[in-house]
Amino acid sequence: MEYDKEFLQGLYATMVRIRTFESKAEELFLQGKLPGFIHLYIGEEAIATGAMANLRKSDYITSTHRGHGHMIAKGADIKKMMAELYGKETGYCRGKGGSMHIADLSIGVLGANGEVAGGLPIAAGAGMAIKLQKKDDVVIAFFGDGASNRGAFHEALNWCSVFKLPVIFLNENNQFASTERVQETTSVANISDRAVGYNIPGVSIDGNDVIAVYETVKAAVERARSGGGPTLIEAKTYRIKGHFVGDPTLYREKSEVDEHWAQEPIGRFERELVSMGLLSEEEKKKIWDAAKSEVEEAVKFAESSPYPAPESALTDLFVDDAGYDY
Amino acid sequence: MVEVRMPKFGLSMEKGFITRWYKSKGDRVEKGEPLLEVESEKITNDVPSPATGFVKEILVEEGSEAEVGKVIAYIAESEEELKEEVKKAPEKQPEESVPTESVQKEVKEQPLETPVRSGQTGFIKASPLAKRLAREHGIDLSTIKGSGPNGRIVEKDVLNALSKVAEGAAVPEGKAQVEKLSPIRRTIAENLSEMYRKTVLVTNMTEVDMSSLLAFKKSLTEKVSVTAILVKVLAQVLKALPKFNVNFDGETITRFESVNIGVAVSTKNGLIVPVVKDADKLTLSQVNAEIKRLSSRARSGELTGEETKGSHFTLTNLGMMRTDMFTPVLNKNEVAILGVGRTVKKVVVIEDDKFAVRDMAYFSLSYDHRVIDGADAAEFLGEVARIIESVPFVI
Amino acid sequence: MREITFSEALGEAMYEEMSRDPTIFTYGEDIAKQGGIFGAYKSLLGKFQGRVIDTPISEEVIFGSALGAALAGMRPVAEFHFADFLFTGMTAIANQIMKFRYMTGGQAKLHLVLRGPDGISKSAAAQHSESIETIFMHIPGIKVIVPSTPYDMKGLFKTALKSEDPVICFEHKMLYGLKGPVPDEEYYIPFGKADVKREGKDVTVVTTSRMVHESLKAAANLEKEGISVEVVDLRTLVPWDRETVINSVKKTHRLVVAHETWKRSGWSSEIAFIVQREAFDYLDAPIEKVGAYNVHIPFSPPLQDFVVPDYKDVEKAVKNVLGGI
Repeated sequence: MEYDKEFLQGLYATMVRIRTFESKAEELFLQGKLPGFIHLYIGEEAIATGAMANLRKSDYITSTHRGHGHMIAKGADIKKMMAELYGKETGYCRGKGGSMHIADLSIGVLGANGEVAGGLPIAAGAGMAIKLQKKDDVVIAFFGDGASNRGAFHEALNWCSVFKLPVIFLNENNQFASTERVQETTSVANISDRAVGYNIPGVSIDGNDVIAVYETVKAAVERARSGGGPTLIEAKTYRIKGHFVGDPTLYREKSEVDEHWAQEPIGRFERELVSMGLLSEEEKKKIWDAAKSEVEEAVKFAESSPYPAPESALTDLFVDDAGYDY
Repeated sequence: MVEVRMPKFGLSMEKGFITRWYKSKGDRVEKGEPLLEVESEKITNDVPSPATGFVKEILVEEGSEAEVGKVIAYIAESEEELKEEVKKAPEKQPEESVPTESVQKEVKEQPLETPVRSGQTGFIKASPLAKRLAREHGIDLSTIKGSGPNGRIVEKDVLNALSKVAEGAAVPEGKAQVEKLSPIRRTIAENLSEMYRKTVLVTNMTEVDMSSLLAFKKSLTEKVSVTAILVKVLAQVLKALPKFNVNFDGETITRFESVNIGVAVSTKNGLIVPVVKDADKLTLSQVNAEIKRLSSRARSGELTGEETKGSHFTLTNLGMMRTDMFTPVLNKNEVAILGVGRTVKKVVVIEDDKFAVRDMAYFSLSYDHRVIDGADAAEFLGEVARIIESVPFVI
Repeated sequence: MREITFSEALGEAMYEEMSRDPTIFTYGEDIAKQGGIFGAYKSLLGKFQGRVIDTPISEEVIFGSALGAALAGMRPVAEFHFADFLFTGMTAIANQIMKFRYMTGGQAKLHLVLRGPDGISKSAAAQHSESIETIFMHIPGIKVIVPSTPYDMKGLFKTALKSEDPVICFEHKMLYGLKGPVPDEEYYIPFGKADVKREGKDVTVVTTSRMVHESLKAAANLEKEGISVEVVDLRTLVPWDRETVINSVKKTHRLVVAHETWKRSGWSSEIAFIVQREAFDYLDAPIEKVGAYNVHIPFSPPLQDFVVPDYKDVEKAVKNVLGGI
């Protein structure tokens, strides 16, 4: 397929923005500036970027604990994301959620999720709503290799297949469920093989190839919009970083990581674009500089924002919070 | 065996009235733990146990008096001691001169078998509702036998006790109830009758326009009582007219530099007059705080002897109640007392024969005519009125 | 006034609100063609095509999809079949539904309802007889309604269908066939307003659901012995009506809290705590609880009768507090 330069540079820029955000988050975490823990998307940027290039604002996604990339690719405000990572009042969740619970309903992000496979039933529900509302929106449910071993995955696949719901199950197989290798915990060689059990199309692709992701998801989205029901896509990738920042990664050798780093999606796509003459040194620098200053701006915003008032912890449970005894 | 003697609280205490024993015969007691409650003059105090052991004998029962230094109980320091018969205790000479024989005689006269109080001591088992009812109606729970599980006093028991009290109060068939004066009331009675008998009591009265003073009070950011403002006014007048800032014992007059003003406080136990010392030197705010502190201590029975002594002049303010004029009796050793009646809105004639509505109150100055003349009293009242009526009023 | 059954009252509430609000839809197991295994949805049979949906036995998706559908603008009513099976999809409720609005800083209005039967029936044994409403009162984030009469069922459920917050409704299996007066005209019952089902002056019995009827029966029996019992039906547990309970205790000075669920750490403990704190000086006896023994609901009729409380246990508890326990 032929793509224009602007579109391709757009994909590149989104991946760069995610990478820059994540690298900065890692740096800030190691400096002790971010409370809690964070899970980085470094090395997996092509999946969110390629998938989201098919979506419109009214489409939904459900995300995971490793969700920063999904948020950015769907169009979230980086400032509000960074402020939430800091636990500040100006964050997406006003400091109540943190990295793992960022949501932005205004752009269809139905939440990151701290529970493995937690987003899949939610995606099924959004799919039911779309069908009842007779709309042609779709839902992409992101989930990891570990999530495919949870009951919710199997329930949701069956459910969406039975009701022919417009839900794309986009598996990010980064080879590790926390510290456990996918081959050691999963009964199938390809997670997409599981689609057979639910009578839906299943396909495995190279998740570090942003164009492959874009095109595969495009077909699934088109099928879903036209009432063809769900698709299971396995995007194979590799988790460059530990499960969380600070993970001692005793379960793998550094050489293995180095090997995969050579295949990380941004460098790979960059080389292709440069070789095709679609990305000059100058353009590349401009994209990286823009991402860097955007992220720095977000850090400045987050650091200068106030912490939420402690008593504000007693709001947001119910719409009519008043009168409840907490 | 350790003796428990009636202690002396304050220099002038001669005898103490035992309002309550916290322990009964046979009860275990720790050294320093409150053993009994004693009321003397206007103060109540807890008496700590002088030793750890068991209450062997209580020689002076609740509701009785004992002279200072008198043995009122014995503490056995071991269970063996508890079983031993009480030997005739060798009486130590108490601090104040209490004749030894009379004490020994009284010890002999005490019955050895003192009645043990029913139920538990210290902690009384009662339902929360029963406790609240008892508190609200002034019922002593230790006088009630509980009918609930394990002898718990419940609502019904307090209501029964209340109805008995009500029957008693109704005085059926010409029977009368006999009540002994409490020590506090007795002290009040003695002092008042002494002063009424000895002094030549005359009262001058005048009507004072309080409008300016009340406007001043309203203008303050801090909430200050009229009594506090009046104390400041009196301090100023007493400085100017030192004749009133004295004590008089019938023969000698003692004049004071300091201005100590007694403020009459009504409590459930009777009238108490704590003293605002150096009222002339304190700011209005300090006077106000001091009066607040003293009256709250007076109401909770916590005043020390020192806090009720040394006044040179007394203010009794009935302004909050329905009294216009009255003739207060002098406080002990004083020569004058100012009584303030209620403030009432009245139509009065002001400058240029105009009518105006003003806040008016009667001030009644009672004085001992033996040392204060009528003209002195008139001057005093005039000075008080002049200050209060000055526009604007400032203190 | 006309009389209808508890399940008809639920059906009417659904019918009226679904007719008005096209975003309401309902789904679960055995509801579309069967009308629910206890007939709760009989009056919806054949109506609202496509909005009353039979689903796979997939509790985690039944509950989790309610969240997704609510986020996408619908007003789902998900049935949980048996309260016992709330546990099979519990993570979707406790980890997702109940936390979502809070975790996201109040971004979402979660207009969704979970409803279904709870409590004992005739020898359904341990996995089909539980009352677990306390758990939903303990974990923050969902409103809990526990109706006892057709009138309350309809009024409370109509309010639930207009709520902007998640609601869980527990309908006691033994009540579905119960008939009671329900007016023709529409009405709503606000959450957090208890209903004094019977006035009395000696002892207050605070209760819900089936135990309301057991308590009323006990009150009628005790009246013959000259004991006057006030029966307060909380109707909703989150929020619950402290004011009515405390005022009643201030009047009677004695409290029994009666529920079918286990006595140990049942919601009665929370009521008892608040009452001792707010009305300490008014209590003339310790507070008594009525509830199931802390074992599972056994199968054999005499065993079930022994474990689960009824009016006789309420009578005993009332006499206990009158005797000061």
